[in-house]
Amino acid sequence: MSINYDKLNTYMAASGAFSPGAAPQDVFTISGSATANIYVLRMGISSVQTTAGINDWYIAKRSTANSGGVAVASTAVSFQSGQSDATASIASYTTTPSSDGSLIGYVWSGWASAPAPATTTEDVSTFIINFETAIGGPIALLSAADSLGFNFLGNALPTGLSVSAWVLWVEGPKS
Amino acid sequence: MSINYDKLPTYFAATTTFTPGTQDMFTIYGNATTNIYVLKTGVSSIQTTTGIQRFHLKRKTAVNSGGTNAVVTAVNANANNIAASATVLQYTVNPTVSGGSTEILDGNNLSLSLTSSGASSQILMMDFETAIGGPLVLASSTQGMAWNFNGVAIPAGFKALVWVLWAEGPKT
Repeated sequence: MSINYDKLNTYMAASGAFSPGAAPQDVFTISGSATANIYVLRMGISSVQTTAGINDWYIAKRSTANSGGVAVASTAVSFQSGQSDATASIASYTTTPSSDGSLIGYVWSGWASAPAPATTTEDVSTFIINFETAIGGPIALLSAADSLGFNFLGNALPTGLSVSAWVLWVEGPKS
Repeated sequence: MSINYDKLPTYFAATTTFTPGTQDMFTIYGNATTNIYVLKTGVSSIQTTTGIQRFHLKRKTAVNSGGTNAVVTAVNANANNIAASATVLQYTVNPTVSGGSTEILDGNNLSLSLTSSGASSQILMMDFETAIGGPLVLASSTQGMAWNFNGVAIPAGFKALVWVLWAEGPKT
């Protein structure tokens, strides 16, 4: 079935600044739903930490849900009032999940700087990953078990790491 | 035959950190059953002492052999699509036999590699998706694309991250 993405409802959600749990895997996730297909268009992330550094970040796609940990939900904001409420779930993990969902693989990886906010003379880099223009369509989350998330690969958490992340998506009928 | 790229299934693959050899560090190759359309690819890196490195992007006309490589998992953008047929590899030891290649980027693009200083990080990205006439095509199992260090010594502490986005379609 061909999908006319232009006709779908658009939503956005952002975390507040938060500190991930220890040795984190998924840090910020969008999960699908039982009633709509979720098409992830763009994701962005920036961070600071006590002593300036550079960290490797990933975007992981999973086919089953994480469990455990402490997940703080972000409010999904509709681009147009009157549209149906979002059905995707957005979570920031302040305590690492006790069990990770099944990893399909990584769709993006990159080194991202994390300046020290108290002393920095460097700009904070915000990485924006754009799935929207991909030929064939953006990344699809077809069930509540599917998720896409910024991931730290279990690396040791730098002291004072504070993360801000956001996601932009559309929702459409099950296809 | 005109190709409707919008109808093709799309795939992603991204490495975890690795230290490459001095030649091909990351490759994607075509296959016998589908055409591979490389849409975008990007690389970033760090090293112990800040420096500028030259990354080369090569079109491969023959397969590599030997060396030490690992498969980078292809992730389907939509689980309803068929599985990917392209082969994506990351190399930690140079291939003993490097397949023929021609330069796409001949060192014209520089990527600033950084220490763990928190200085602004950069990702060198190539976008073939919007090219008039269509993206980079890998039409057989001997055709590939590679990020390559062109024989230059690997700097101390060098670690790379590489990703690629592609679509697959029928043979034309």
